[in-house]
Amino acid sequence: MLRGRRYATGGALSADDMHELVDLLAIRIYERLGDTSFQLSRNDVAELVNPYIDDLIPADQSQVIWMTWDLIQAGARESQQ
Amino acid sequence: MSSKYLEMMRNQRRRPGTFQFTSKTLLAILAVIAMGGSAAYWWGVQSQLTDNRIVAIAFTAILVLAPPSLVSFLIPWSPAGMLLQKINARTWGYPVIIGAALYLIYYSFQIQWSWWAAQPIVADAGLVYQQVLIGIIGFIVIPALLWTPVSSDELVEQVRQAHLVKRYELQTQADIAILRATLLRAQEKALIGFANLTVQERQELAAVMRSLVGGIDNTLREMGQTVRTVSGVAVPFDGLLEDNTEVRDVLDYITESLESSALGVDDDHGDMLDDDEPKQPARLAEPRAEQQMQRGQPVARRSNQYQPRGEE
Repeated sequence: MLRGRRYATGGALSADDMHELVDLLAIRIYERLGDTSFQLSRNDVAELVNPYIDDLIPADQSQVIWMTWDLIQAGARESQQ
Repeated sequence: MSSKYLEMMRNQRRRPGTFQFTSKTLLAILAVIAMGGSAAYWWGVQSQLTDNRIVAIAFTAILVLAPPSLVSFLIPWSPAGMLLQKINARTWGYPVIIGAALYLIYYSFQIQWSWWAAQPIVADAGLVYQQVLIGIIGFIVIPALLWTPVSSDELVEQVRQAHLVKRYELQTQADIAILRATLLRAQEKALIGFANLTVQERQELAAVMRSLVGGIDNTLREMGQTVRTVSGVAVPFDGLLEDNTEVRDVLDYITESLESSALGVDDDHGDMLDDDEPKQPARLAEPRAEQQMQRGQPVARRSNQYQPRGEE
Protein backbone atom coordinates (compact mmCIF):
# COMPACT_ATOMS: atom_id res chain seq x y z
CA MET A 1 0.00 0.00 0.00
CA LEU A 2 1.45 3.37 -0.98
CA ARG A 3 1.39 6.10 1.71
CA GLY A 4 2.79 9.42 0.47
CA ARG A 5 2.69 13.01 1.69
CA ARG A 6 -0.12 13.98 -0.60
CA TYR A 7 -1.51 10.87 -2.19
CA ALA A 8 -2.38 7.51 -0.76
CA THR A 9 -4.06 4.38 -1.95
CA GLY A 10 -6.35 1.98 -0.13
CA GLY A 11 -8.51 4.66 1.50
CA ALA A 12 -5.77 5.82 3.90
CA LEU A 13 -5.31 9.51 4.60
CA SER A 14 -2.25 11.29 3.26
CA ALA A 15 0.26 12.56 5.81
CA ASP A 16 -0.77 16.20 5.29
CA ASP A 17 -4.46 15.42 5.65
CA MET A 18 -3.69 13.38 8.74
CA HIS A 19 -1.82 16.28 10.37
CA GLU A 20 -4.54 18.73 9.40
CA LEU A 21 -7.24 16.50 10.85
CA VAL A 22 -5.29 15.92 14.07
CA ASP A 23 -4.68 19.66 14.40
CA LEU A 24 -8.39 20.45 13.98
CA LEU A 25 -9.40 17.76 16.46
CA ALA A 26 -6.93 19.02 19.07
CA ILE A 27 -8.17 22.61 18.64
CA ARG A 28 -11.77 21.45 18.94
CA ILE A 29 -11.04 19.49 22.14
CA TYR A 30 -9.17 22.44 23.66
CA GLU A 31 -12.02 24.81 22.82
CA ARG A 32 -14.46 22.52 24.58
CA LEU A 33 -12.42 21.47 27.61
CA GLY A 34 -9.76 24.15 28.04
CA ASP A 35 -6.80 23.18 30.26
CA THR A 36 -8.68 20.05 31.39
CA SER A 37 -7.87 18.57 28.00
CA PHE A 38 -4.22 18.24 29.12
CA GLN A 39 -5.28 15.56 31.60
CA LEU A 40 -7.09 13.38 29.07
CA SER A 41 -5.86 9.82 28.62
CA ARG A 42 -5.63 8.19 25.18
CA ASN A 43 -8.89 6.36 25.87
CA ASP A 44 -10.62 9.65 26.70
CA VAL A 45 -9.30 11.18 23.47
CA ALA A 46 -10.49 8.11 21.55
CA GLU A 47 -13.98 8.49 23.02
CA LEU A 48 -14.10 12.18 22.07
CA VAL A 49 -12.79 11.89 18.51
CA ASN A 50 -14.38 8.58 17.47
CA PRO A 51 -17.58 10.18 16.07
CA TYR A 52 -15.42 12.29 13.72
CA ILE A 53 -13.16 9.53 12.41
CA ASP A 54 -15.46 6.51 12.13
CA ASP A 55 -15.29 6.69 8.30
CA LEU A 56 -11.47 6.24 8.30
CA ILE A 57 -9.78 2.88 7.94
CA PRO A 58 -8.97 1.22 11.32
CA ALA A 59 -5.21 1.89 11.04
CA ASP A 60 -5.84 5.61 10.48
CA GLN A 61 -8.37 5.77 13.28
CA SER A 62 -5.81 4.40 15.72
CA GLN A 63 -3.12 6.73 14.37
CA VAL A 64 -5.34 9.82 14.59
CA ILE A 65 -6.16 9.05 18.23
CA TRP A 66 -2.50 8.57 19.08
CA MET A 67 -1.40 11.72 17.28
CA THR A 68 -4.20 13.83 18.75
CA TRP A 69 -3.28 12.75 22.27
CA ASP A 70 0.39 13.42 21.54
CA LEU A 71 -0.38 16.88 20.17
CA ILE A 72 -2.48 17.73 23.24
CA GLN A 73 0.44 16.69 25.47
CA ALA A 74 2.76 18.88 23.38
CA GLY A 75 0.28 21.72 23.90
CA ALA A 76 0.35 21.07 27.67
CA ARG A 77 4.14 21.36 27.66
CA GLU A 78 3.94 24.59 25.62
CA SER A 79 1.45 26.15 28.03
CA GLN A 80 3.54 25.18 31.08
CA GLN A 81 6.80 26.65 29.75
CA MET B 1 5.18 21.01 9.79
CA SER B 2 3.52 23.86 11.74
CA SER B 3 0.54 23.14 13.93
CA LYS B 4 -2.24 25.70 14.43
CA TYR B 5 -2.99 24.10 17.77
CA LEU B 6 0.55 24.58 19.08
CA GLU B 7 0.59 28.11 17.69
CA MET B 8 -2.61 28.82 19.64
CA MET B 9 -0.99 27.50 22.84
CA ARG B 10 2.07 29.72 22.34
CA ASN B 11 -0.14 32.75 21.77
CA GLN B 12 -2.11 32.02 24.94
CA ARG B 13 1.10 31.75 26.92
CA ARG B 14 2.26 35.15 25.72
CA ARG B 15 -1.08 36.91 26.37
CA PRO B 16 -0.83 37.42 30.17
CA GLY B 17 2.42 39.32 29.75
CA THR B 18 0.90 41.99 27.52
CA PHE B 19 -0.06 45.23 29.23
CA GLN B 20 -3.69 46.28 28.99
CA PHE B 21 -4.80 49.78 29.85
CA THR B 22 -8.10 49.53 31.72
CA SER B 23 -10.25 51.86 33.79
CA LYS B 24 -8.60 50.35 36.86
CA THR B 25 -5.19 51.43 35.52
CA LEU B 26 -6.52 54.94 35.02
CA LEU B 27 -7.89 54.93 38.56
CA ALA B 28 -4.49 53.79 39.84
CA ILE B 29 -2.74 56.67 38.06
CA LEU B 30 -5.35 59.09 39.40
CA ALA B 31 -4.95 57.70 42.93
CA VAL B 32 -1.16 58.09 42.83
CA ILE B 33 -1.51 61.70 41.63
CA ALA B 34 -4.18 62.39 44.28
CA MET B 35 -1.98 60.97 47.03
CA GLY B 36 0.93 63.09 45.81
CA GLY B 37 -1.37 66.10 46.00
CA SER B 38 -2.56 64.99 49.42
CA ALA B 39 1.04 64.76 50.67
CA ALA B 40 1.77 68.28 49.34
CA TYR B 41 -1.39 69.72 50.94
CA TRP B 42 -0.98 68.06 54.34
CA TRP B 43 2.71 68.94 54.47
CA GLY B 44 1.73 72.56 53.84
CA VAL B 45 -0.82 72.46 56.65
CA GLN B 46 1.14 70.41 59.21
CA SER B 47 4.37 72.33 58.69
CA GLN B 48 2.43 75.51 59.55
CA LEU B 49 1.01 73.91 62.71
CA THR B 50 4.44 72.98 64.13
CA ASP B 51 8.09 73.89 63.61
CA ASN B 52 9.16 70.32 64.38
CA ARG B 53 9.72 68.85 60.94
CA ILE B 54 9.71 65.21 62.12
CA VAL B 55 6.31 65.61 63.76
CA ALA B 56 5.02 67.39 60.68
CA ILE B 57 6.31 64.58 58.45
CA ALA B 58 4.74 61.94 60.72
CA PHE B 59 1.35 63.67 60.72
CA THR B 60 1.52 64.19 56.98
CA ALA B 61 2.21 60.47 56.47
CA ILE B 62 -0.69 59.57 58.76
CA LEU B 63 -3.11 61.88 56.99
CA VAL B 64 -2.04 60.72 53.54
CA LEU B 65 -2.10 56.98 54.25
CA ALA B 66 -4.47 56.29 57.13
CA PRO B 67 -7.82 57.69 55.85
CA PRO B 68 -7.74 55.88 52.47
CA SER B 69 -6.58 52.60 54.03
CA LEU B 70 -9.31 52.64 56.71
CA VAL B 71 -12.01 53.82 54.31
CA SER B 72 -11.03 51.04 51.89
CA PHE B 73 -12.39 48.58 54.48
CA LEU B 74 -15.73 50.40 54.45
CA ILE B 75 -16.25 50.70 50.70
CA PRO B 76 -15.44 47.32 49.13
CA TRP B 77 -15.24 47.50 45.37
CA SER B 78 -15.58 43.88 44.35
CA PRO B 79 -18.00 41.01 45.08
CA ALA B 80 -15.26 39.26 47.08
CA GLY B 81 -14.65 42.45 49.05
CA MET B 82 -18.40 42.68 49.81
CA LEU B 83 -18.33 39.11 51.14
CA LEU B 84 -15.25 39.82 53.23
CA GLN B 85 -16.87 42.97 54.65
CA LYS B 86 -19.93 40.93 55.66
CA ILE B 87 -17.69 38.44 57.47
CA ASN B 88 -15.52 41.10 59.13
CA ALA B 89 -18.55 43.10 60.25
CA ARG B 90 -19.06 40.55 63.02
CA THR B 91 -15.56 41.08 64.47
CA TRP B 92 -14.59 43.59 67.18
CA GLY B 93 -12.03 45.21 64.88
CA TYR B 94 -14.67 46.42 62.46
CA PRO B 95 -16.35 49.00 64.77
CA VAL B 96 -12.85 50.29 65.62
CA ILE B 97 -12.11 50.75 61.90
CA ILE B 98 -15.45 52.53 61.39
CA GLY B 99 -14.80 54.87 64.35
CA ALA B 100 -11.22 55.68 63.30
CA ALA B 101 -12.19 56.21 59.66
CA LEU B 102 -15.08 58.52 60.57
CA TYR B 103 -12.87 60.58 62.89
CA LEU B 104 -10.14 60.93 60.25
CA ILE B 105 -12.71 62.03 57.67
CA TYR B 106 -14.13 64.53 60.18
CA TYR B 107 -10.62 65.83 60.97
CA SER B 108 -9.78 66.10 57.29
CA PHE B 109 -13.06 67.92 56.66
CA GLN B 110 -12.50 70.40 59.49
CA ILE B 111 -8.92 71.26 58.53
CA GLN B 112 -9.76 71.61 54.84
CA TRP B 113 -12.82 73.70 55.64
CA SER B 114 -10.75 76.07 57.80
CA TRP B 115 -8.03 76.26 55.17
CA TRP B 116 -10.38 77.01 52.29
CA ALA B 117 -12.43 79.44 54.41
CA ALA B 118 -9.20 81.38 54.96
CA GLN B 119 -8.76 81.76 51.19
CA PRO B 120 -10.46 85.07 50.36
CA ILE B 121 -11.51 84.24 46.78
CA VAL B 122 -13.07 80.87 47.70
CA ALA B 123 -14.75 82.34 50.80
CA ASP B 124 -16.17 85.26 48.81
CA ALA B 125 -17.45 82.94 46.09
CA GLY B 126 -19.07 80.65 48.69
CA LEU B 127 -17.27 77.59 47.33
CA VAL B 128 -15.75 76.38 50.62
CA TYR B 129 -17.88 73.20 50.92
CA GLN B 130 -17.41 72.32 47.25
CA GLN B 131 -13.62 72.65 47.55
CA VAL B 132 -13.59 70.59 50.75
CA LEU B 133 -15.66 67.83 49.13
CA ILE B 134 -13.31 67.73 46.15
CA GLY B 135 -10.42 67.41 48.60
CA ILE B 136 -12.14 64.55 50.50
CA ILE B 137 -12.86 62.68 47.27
CA GLY B 138 -9.36 63.18 45.89
CA PHE B 139 -7.38 62.61 49.10
CA ILE B 140 -9.45 59.80 50.60
CA VAL B 141 -12.13 58.21 48.41
CA ILE B 142 -10.17 57.66 45.19
CA PRO B 143 -7.11 56.06 46.87
CA ALA B 144 -9.50 54.02 49.05
CA LEU B 145 -11.24 52.65 45.95
CA LEU B 146 -7.92 51.49 44.58
CA TRP B 147 -6.63 49.80 47.69
CA THR B 148 -7.68 46.32 48.57
CA PRO B 149 -7.63 45.63 52.31
CA VAL B 150 -6.22 42.12 51.85
CA SER B 151 -4.49 40.13 49.16
CA SER B 152 -6.42 37.51 47.18
CA ASP B 153 -4.77 34.68 49.14
CA GLU B 154 -5.72 36.21 52.48
CA LEU B 155 -9.24 36.79 51.18
CA VAL B 156 -9.58 33.17 50.13
CA GLU B 157 -8.22 32.03 53.50
CA GLN B 158 -10.61 34.27 55.47
CA VAL B 159 -13.61 33.14 53.42
CA ARG B 160 -12.49 29.52 53.80
CA GLN B 161 -12.23 29.86 57.57
CA ALA B 162 -15.66 31.50 57.81
CA HIS B 163 -17.10 28.76 55.63
CA LEU B 164 -15.44 26.08 57.77
CA VAL B 165 -16.87 27.50 60.99
CA LYS B 166 -20.33 27.77 59.42
CA ARG B 167 -20.13 24.18 58.18
CA TYR B 168 -19.11 22.87 61.61
CA GLU B 169 -21.93 24.85 63.23
CA LEU B 170 -24.51 23.45 60.81
CA GLN B 171 -23.13 19.93 61.14
CA THR B 172 -23.25 20.17 64.91
CA GLN B 173 -26.82 21.44 64.82
CA ALA B 174 -27.74 18.50 62.61
CA ASP B 175 -25.97 16.12 65.02
CA ILE B 176 -27.93 17.61 67.92
CA ALA B 177 -31.20 17.17 66.00
CA ILE B 178 -30.34 13.50 65.33
CA LEU B 179 -29.37 12.99 68.96
CA ARG B 180 -32.62 14.61 70.11
CA ALA B 181 -34.65 12.32 67.85
CA THR B 182 -32.68 9.31 69.12
CA LEU B 183 -33.32 10.32 72.72
CA LEU B 184 -37.05 10.73 72.04
CA ARG B 185 -37.13 7.30 70.47
CA ALA B 186 -35.24 5.91 73.45
CA GLN B 187 -37.85 7.56 75.64
CA GLU B 188 -40.69 5.77 73.84
CA LYS B 189 -38.81 2.47 73.91
CA ALA B 190 -38.03 2.98 77.57
CA LEU B 191 -41.69 3.50 78.37
CA ILE B 192 -42.56 0.24 76.60
CA GLY B 193 -39.64 -2.02 77.41
CA PHE B 194 -38.39 -0.81 80.78
CA ALA B 195 -41.78 -0.74 82.50
CA ASN B 196 -40.87 -3.74 84.59
CA LEU B 197 -37.45 -2.49 85.72
CA THR B 198 -36.86 -1.86 89.39
CA VAL B 199 -36.36 1.69 90.68
CA GLN B 200 -32.61 1.12 91.05
CA GLU B 201 -32.37 -0.21 87.50
CA ARG B 202 -34.24 2.84 86.17
CA GLN B 203 -31.91 5.19 88.05
CA GLU B 204 -28.94 3.33 86.63
CA LEU B 205 -30.37 3.61 83.10
CA ALA B 206 -30.97 7.36 83.52
CA ALA B 207 -27.38 7.82 84.72
CA VAL B 208 -26.09 5.84 81.73
CA MET B 209 -28.03 8.06 79.29
CA ARG B 210 -26.72 11.24 80.95
CA SER B 211 -23.13 9.99 80.86
CA LEU B 212 -23.61 8.99 77.20
CA VAL B 213 -24.58 12.55 76.24
CA GLY B 214 -21.75 13.88 78.43
CA GLY B 215 -19.34 11.61 76.56
CA ILE B 216 -20.55 12.87 73.17
CA ASP B 217 -20.14 16.43 74.45
CA ASN B 218 -16.54 15.71 75.49
CA THR B 219 -15.82 14.19 72.07
CA LEU B 220 -17.21 17.31 70.36
CA ARG B 221 -15.07 19.51 72.60
CA GLU B 222 -11.96 17.51 71.71
CA MET B 223 -12.88 17.76 68.02
CA GLY B 224 -13.20 21.53 68.37
CA GLN B 225 -9.77 21.75 70.01
CA THR B 226 -8.23 19.61 67.26
CA VAL B 227 -9.81 21.79 64.55
CA ARG B 228 -8.50 24.89 66.35
CA THR B 229 -4.99 23.42 66.55
CA VAL B 230 -4.90 22.28 62.93
CA SER B 231 -6.55 25.19 61.13
CA GLY B 232 -6.64 27.99 63.70
CA VAL B 233 -10.42 28.15 63.41
CA ALA B 234 -12.30 28.46 66.70
CA VAL B 235 -15.28 26.12 66.72
CA PRO B 236 -17.84 26.76 69.48
CA PHE B 237 -18.18 23.17 70.68
CA ASP B 238 -17.69 23.76 74.41
CA GLY B 239 -20.69 22.55 76.40
CA LEU B 240 -22.69 22.29 73.22
CA LEU B 241 -24.91 19.38 74.27
CA GLU B 242 -24.92 19.70 78.02
CA ASP B 243 -25.77 23.40 77.73
CA ASN B 244 -28.34 22.78 74.99
CA THR B 245 -31.74 23.37 76.60
CA GLU B 246 -33.67 21.00 74.33
CA VAL B 247 -31.27 18.09 74.89
CA ARG B 248 -31.21 18.86 78.63
CA ASP B 249 -35.04 18.94 78.74
CA VAL B 250 -35.25 15.56 77.03
CA LEU B 251 -32.66 14.09 79.41
CA ASP B 252 -34.46 15.53 82.43
CA TYR B 253 -37.72 14.10 81.17
CA ILE B 254 -36.20 10.65 80.57
CA THR B 255 -34.64 10.67 84.04
CA GLU B 256 -37.92 11.78 85.57
CA SER B 257 -39.89 9.15 83.61
CA LEU B 258 -37.51 6.36 84.50
CA GLU B 259 -37.19 7.24 88.15
CA SER B 260 -40.88 7.99 88.64
CA SER B 261 -42.69 5.18 90.39
CA ALA B 262 -45.81 6.07 88.39
CA LEU B 263 -44.13 5.07 85.09
CA GLY B 264 -46.03 1.84 84.75
CA VAL B 265 -49.36 3.54 85.38
CA ASP B 266 -51.04 4.83 82.28
CA ASP B 267 -53.51 7.64 82.82
CA ASP B 268 -55.75 6.20 80.17
CA HIS B 269 -55.51 2.78 81.75
CA GLY B 270 -55.90 3.89 85.34
CA ASP B 271 -59.37 2.37 85.59
CA MET B 272 -57.86 -1.05 84.98
CA LEU B 273 -55.64 -0.86 88.07
CA ASP B 274 -56.06 -3.45 90.69
CA ASP B 275 -54.73 -2.54 94.12
CA ASP B 276 -53.67 -6.10 94.73
CA GLU B 277 -51.67 -6.37 91.51
CA PRO B 278 -49.70 -3.11 91.00
CA LYS B 279 -47.62 -4.37 88.05
CA GLN B 280 -50.56 -5.60 86.00
CA PRO B 281 -51.42 -2.27 84.22
CA ALA B 282 -47.87 -1.97 82.93
CA ARG B 283 -48.09 -5.42 81.44
CA LEU B 284 -51.50 -4.61 79.93
CA ALA B 285 -50.27 -1.34 78.46
CA GLU B 286 -47.23 -2.97 76.95
CA PRO B 287 -48.84 -4.96 74.07
CA ARG B 288 -51.03 -2.00 73.10
CA ALA B 289 -48.05 0.33 72.85
CA GLU B 290 -46.05 -2.25 70.95
CA GLN B 291 -48.92 -2.72 68.50
CA GLN B 292 -49.04 1.04 67.93
CA MET B 293 -45.29 1.14 67.35
CA GLN B 294 -45.50 -1.74 64.88
CA ARG B 295 -48.27 0.05 62.97
CA GLY B 296 -46.06 3.14 62.78
CA GLN B 297 -48.37 5.12 65.07
CA PRO B 298 -46.99 7.19 67.94
CA VAL B 299 -47.46 5.74 71.36
CA ALA B 300 -50.33 7.44 73.23
CA ARG B 301 -48.98 10.47 75.06
CA ARG B 302 -48.98 10.40 78.79
CA SER B 303 -49.82 13.42 80.85
CA ASN B 304 -46.18 13.87 81.89
CA GLN B 305 -44.75 13.09 78.43
CA TYR B 306 -42.02 15.34 77.03
CA GLN B 307 -43.40 18.08 74.80
CA PRO B 308 -40.88 19.43 72.27
CA ARG B 309 -40.75 23.22 72.03
CA GLY B 310 -43.07 24.61 69.39
CA GLU B 311 -45.40 21.65 69.60
CA GLU B 312 -46.99 22.85 72.79
